[in-house]
Amino acid sequence: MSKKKEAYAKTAAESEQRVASAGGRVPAAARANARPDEESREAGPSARRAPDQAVIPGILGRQLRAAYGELLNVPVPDRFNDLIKKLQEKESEDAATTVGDEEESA
Amino acid sequence: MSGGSHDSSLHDDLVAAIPNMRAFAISLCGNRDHADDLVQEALVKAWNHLDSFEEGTNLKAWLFTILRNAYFSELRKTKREVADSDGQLASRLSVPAEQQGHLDLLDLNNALGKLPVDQREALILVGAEGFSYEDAAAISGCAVGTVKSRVNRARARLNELMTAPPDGGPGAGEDKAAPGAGQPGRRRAAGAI
Repeated sequence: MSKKKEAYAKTAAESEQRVASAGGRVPAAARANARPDEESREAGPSARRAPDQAVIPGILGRQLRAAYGELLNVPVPDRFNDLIKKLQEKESEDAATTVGDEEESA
Repeated sequence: MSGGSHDSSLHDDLVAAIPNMRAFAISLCGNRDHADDLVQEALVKAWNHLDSFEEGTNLKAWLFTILRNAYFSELRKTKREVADSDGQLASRLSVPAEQQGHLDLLDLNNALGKLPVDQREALILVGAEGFSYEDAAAISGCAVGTVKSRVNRARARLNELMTAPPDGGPGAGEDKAAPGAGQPGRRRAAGAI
């Protein structure tokens, strides 16, 4: 794992250098096409993710997932617990009156 | 639990998807309260129509479809341009103090808010949620190729936005060399995207 991280850090550093030495930004798509090997290496540390997540390779992809991860980790407000409880109660009542025929028909 | 006529594990899965639904909704509309209203609406719809969910298919994709449809039909109804601008998303993310070192994330959120909503949607679905292009296309009700081009445009635009100086004019991100050269607003990491 640490080896992988190291490789990844190296890749990121190389990528920065290349961008700097190229005298400007190179479109991500162009880079991906020119360096398919890099793309697969960048995908390495996140290999446990779905393959399609590699469509946003490199730092932008990591930042995007990190930002989204922060949103995912925001605690769910109580209103949703209350909502689920209400929905469950309502369903229990419905089930009691309709004798659960939905399940049978399904 | 019980009493319910549905498979309770489906209910559990639905509850487990709430954080994802909220994250997606916030990404779409840029406002937490609005997002939570959308999620609530989608949850109620989903709960009441669980019969129409095909078991064995992707529940999260199904929920996301309901959620984004709720958002876009509302958009059409109100003709409101809800697209976030000038960092409203960032300010509403209310980043906790211990995370304020994540300046790059704030930059990213600012930039995300400036994308057209269809591009933002595609980018989040594929790049952040990890849906396949096919699932993302099904969720958004468009062709796979459309999702791909939206993702590509979103990515290109984000690169532009995040490498532009803060006062950024058009094309400000172009022809700039090494990261951070005399531009305090530029992030080293952003320059390397």
